[in-house]
Amino acid sequence: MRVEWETVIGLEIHAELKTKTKIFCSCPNEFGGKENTHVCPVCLGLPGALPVLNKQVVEYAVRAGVALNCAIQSYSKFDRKNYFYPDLPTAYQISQYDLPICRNGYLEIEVNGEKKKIRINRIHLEEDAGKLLHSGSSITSSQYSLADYNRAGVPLIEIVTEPDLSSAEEARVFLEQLRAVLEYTEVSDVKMEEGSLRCDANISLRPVGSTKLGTKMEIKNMNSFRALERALAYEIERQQEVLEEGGKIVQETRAWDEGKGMTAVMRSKEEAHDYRYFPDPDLAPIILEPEWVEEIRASLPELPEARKERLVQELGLSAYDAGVLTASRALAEFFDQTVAVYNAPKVVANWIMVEYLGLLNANNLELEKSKITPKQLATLLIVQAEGKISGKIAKKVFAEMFATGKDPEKIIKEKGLVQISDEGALAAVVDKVIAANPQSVEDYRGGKKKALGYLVGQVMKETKGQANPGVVNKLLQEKLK
Amino acid sequence: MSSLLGLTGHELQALLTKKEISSTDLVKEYLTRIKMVDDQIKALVTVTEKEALEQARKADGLREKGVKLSPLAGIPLALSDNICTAGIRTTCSSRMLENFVPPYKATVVEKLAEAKAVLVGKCNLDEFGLGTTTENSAFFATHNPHDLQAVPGGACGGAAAAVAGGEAVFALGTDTGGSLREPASFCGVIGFKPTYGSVSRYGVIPCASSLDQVGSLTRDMTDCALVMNAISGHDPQDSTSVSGATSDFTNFLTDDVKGLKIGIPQEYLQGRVVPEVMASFEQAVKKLEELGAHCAEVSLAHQEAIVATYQIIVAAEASSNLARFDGVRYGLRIEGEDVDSLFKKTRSQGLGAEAKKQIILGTYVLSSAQYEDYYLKALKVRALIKEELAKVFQEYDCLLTPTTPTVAFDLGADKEKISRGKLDSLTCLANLAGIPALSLPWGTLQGRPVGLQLLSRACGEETLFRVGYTLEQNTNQTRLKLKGKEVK
Amino acid sequence: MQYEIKDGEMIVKITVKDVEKIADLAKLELSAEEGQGFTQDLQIRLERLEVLKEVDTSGVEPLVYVLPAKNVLREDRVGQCLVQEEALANTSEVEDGCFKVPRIV
Ligand SMILES: [Mg+2]
Ligand SMILES: [Zn+2]
Repeated sequence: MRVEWETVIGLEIHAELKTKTKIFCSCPNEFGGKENTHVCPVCLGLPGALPVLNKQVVEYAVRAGVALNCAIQSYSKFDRKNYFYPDLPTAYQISQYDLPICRNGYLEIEVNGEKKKIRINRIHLEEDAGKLLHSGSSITSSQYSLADYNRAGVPLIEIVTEPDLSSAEEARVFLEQLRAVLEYTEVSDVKMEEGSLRCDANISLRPVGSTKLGTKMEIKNMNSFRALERALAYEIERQQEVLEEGGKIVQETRAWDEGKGMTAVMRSKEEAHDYRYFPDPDLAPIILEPEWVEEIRASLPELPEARKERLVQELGLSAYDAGVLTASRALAEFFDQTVAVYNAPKVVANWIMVEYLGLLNANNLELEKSKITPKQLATLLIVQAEGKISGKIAKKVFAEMFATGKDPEKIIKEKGLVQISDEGALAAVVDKVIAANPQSVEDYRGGKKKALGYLVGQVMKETKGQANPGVVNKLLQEKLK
Repeated sequence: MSSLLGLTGHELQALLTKKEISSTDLVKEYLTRIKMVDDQIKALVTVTEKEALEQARKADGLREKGVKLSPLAGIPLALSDNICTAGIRTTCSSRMLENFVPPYKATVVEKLAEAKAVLVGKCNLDEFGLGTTTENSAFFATHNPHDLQAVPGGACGGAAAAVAGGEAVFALGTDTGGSLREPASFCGVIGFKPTYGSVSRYGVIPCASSLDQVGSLTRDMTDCALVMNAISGHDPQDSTSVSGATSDFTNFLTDDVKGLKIGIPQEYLQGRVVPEVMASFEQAVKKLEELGAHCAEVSLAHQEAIVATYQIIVAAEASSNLARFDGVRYGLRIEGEDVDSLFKKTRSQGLGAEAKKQIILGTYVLSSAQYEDYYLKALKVRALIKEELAKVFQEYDCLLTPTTPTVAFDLGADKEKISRGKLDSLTCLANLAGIPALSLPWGTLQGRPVGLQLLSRACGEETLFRVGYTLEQNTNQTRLKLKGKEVK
Repeated sequence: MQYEIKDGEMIVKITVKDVEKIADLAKLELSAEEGQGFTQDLQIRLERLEVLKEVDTSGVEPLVYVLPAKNVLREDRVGQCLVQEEALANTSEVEDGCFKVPRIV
């Protein structure tokens, strides 16, 4: 009898918090920078230096916790996680072990139209390590590695889910939606390519119907949403093959190799660490009074789920469109601000999703870096609705706006793109087209109504798209009676 | 011997104010004394001659201009070499940090610089503060100025010997379980460990963070108060530093112990303290009663567990604190073919035997299989001990004990045989509970000083100063003569 | 972990292997002599800790912080950093503004 397998996935997500300074010292929390210049005695681990907790870090962690429906803990503390590695200046990472700042949350995801609650076990605070660079032209040829501690001490939240995800797709969707929540709450930059959002996965397979968890495998080094989905899909297939051949899964940590499209063993269970966690005596506990938590809760912006709901319920958008428009806060804000000027949600939604996202993708540009403002887009759409330009021209103008950031009216005026609706002005062109296309004229008069479309097109071509198609249509029909 | 060398800081300050001496003269006198005696006492790891003369000149210049100066201005001091000094090497008496020059300074160093006190040298200690005789220094053993055959005590033996031997007027060191009080007792000077958190630990290389406290070594109680005035207070760079207003410690110098209730943990002392020391101690009790204090016997619960609790916490915290010495960023570096062997070679050659033994014990008690039985258990017993002491201090103003079970013993002696209890068995209680403690000289036994220890409730410094000052004013037991080679 | 009976009590018997494992966690390389000596030393030190077992700590909360302090927080304001030369001053193994370490595979 063939066994059906069921996949069980849990994720551990590290997100860098968007504070001005590091978690335990006043060095700037900035991506990049000349090597070892964002360091001080504290984050360089000089002996005698002491950590002092950044208040903003606590507030951001609570923001994230509240947004993810967690119970914010009234008492939490910091522990030392002891291990040696050259990127860890003190040979211990200050983290939270048994008393994390948030517990028992969830995030509801939607996959193929079905909603599912993914439970979050905990969110805890910790410090990031430094960066190891590899000297020489490639990793294999370098004789040594180089340590840069600019990133050491950057504040992180680690979000740990329950093993509630049951496919690679669910895992990817969860991470995307989690990313949106962290972006909406403005606690993190959530850029996977810069490492400000990182994800590890635990995955196991078990026969359908079994309640016992299979042997857990840890997968690391998945640096994009796509990599996460591919790595998990690969691992599901690999484990299934092993199990079906009667083999056994051994507990180990594997790394995803994006180039090869496969996972490979990083370390086995025997090499597992004993981190010797103990409370850090250099820090005081965090006591979160309910008033403080409420204050933070009150300052939260509308979250992706609520925003999506609003777009569907109040503005009449489809669930799909609302989902696309609320995937990032910046995009949702752009949409809302455009609608605030030009109240035609469906038209605006279409423009943003087709034209705007199309151009952004084609140019590999982030919304934040684009030159177009919501007011400019709204103006363009109003001008079009008033019949001053055609849809075709509007797209041209939009491309110009995208490239230059100029106002649409200015572009229309400079390029003389205003739609020609004056019958007198169009009559001559219509006459010219009729004269030049006797065959089509004959066809039309013979009952082939389609031929009219061709003639309209010829007039549009003659006027470089500026003619008002409605007026052209009317004129042609009159003249060909 | 010059008459200046035996004087206290405030006595010297009076001469400086009257312009009878200059700071430069005073510092030169001390530097000469160091050259004279330190080859025998070996208190100092680094002599900061150039910096000292420059600081002395500056202090003199300010005094010339009529600038109002602090009571410590122009006074020579020494620092235990686990306190970071910017631009001056800070070794912790370890091979690991033999050439380490910190790019930053401890908060207490900053405060002493503001007070215009003059640093003459950095003092030898048991490597990273782990030891009780200063024999665990990677460089050399320090000798007791009262008897060069004897140990000065430890961990901050160099600092105590420097003050007792006339190489500095006062010194700062750290106290983890008695590291200031025990050498103070052995060397016949005043050692004061304030309430945990009242002096910043920023820039002080830790031994065990939850026990370590910076304190002073002085020749009398007035200097002790003046030094505390200069160094105590909240530091935003130390999360374990107490906030709130600081007191003027000179207000605590009251010559009156009438009505004070002093507890003596007789049962705890029995079997730990040698009879000769016990006999001296009883004279002190008698004297305090004569002066109007009420002394009564108290019993301490969990007596047997105190030292064990202390040892677990020290080893565990030290094992983690000493992990950063891996050869990558600073300190000794012994190359290896891979990262693991770089770490291992560096640490194995850079750390001494006692440090390694503590690291092994600390790593063991923190390992996941042992954590509950040892480390967590110790934290729970610590809670009981603290609670117990809080109860005692509801009834008593302070506790009185000898500082150490014996007087100083010979260098190289088998410590196990000499003290039936552990050397720190009377002192570590204060660190476990975070309370203030004072060690006061109380005469000598065959030339080797005896120490009295006073403990009080957290932030109960006032009582300690009161008792110490009263004994100082009413007996000739607390101020011992300066010892060491005579100036020829 | 091995045990032995001493004075009617089960006592942990530390082996050289145990100590080697601990030393590896602490990144210490022990000579054969040290291995022997440290094993004996750890055994003695642990036996001295046996007294703790006699203290009844049921229901006792571990004392983690000596002070009653809580929420010791700093404003999120940028302060002074070290300059690169200062950061690198205590090692000779420097390249491109970084600390050199043996190659990490
Ligand atoms: Mg983590
Ligand atoms: Zn820093």
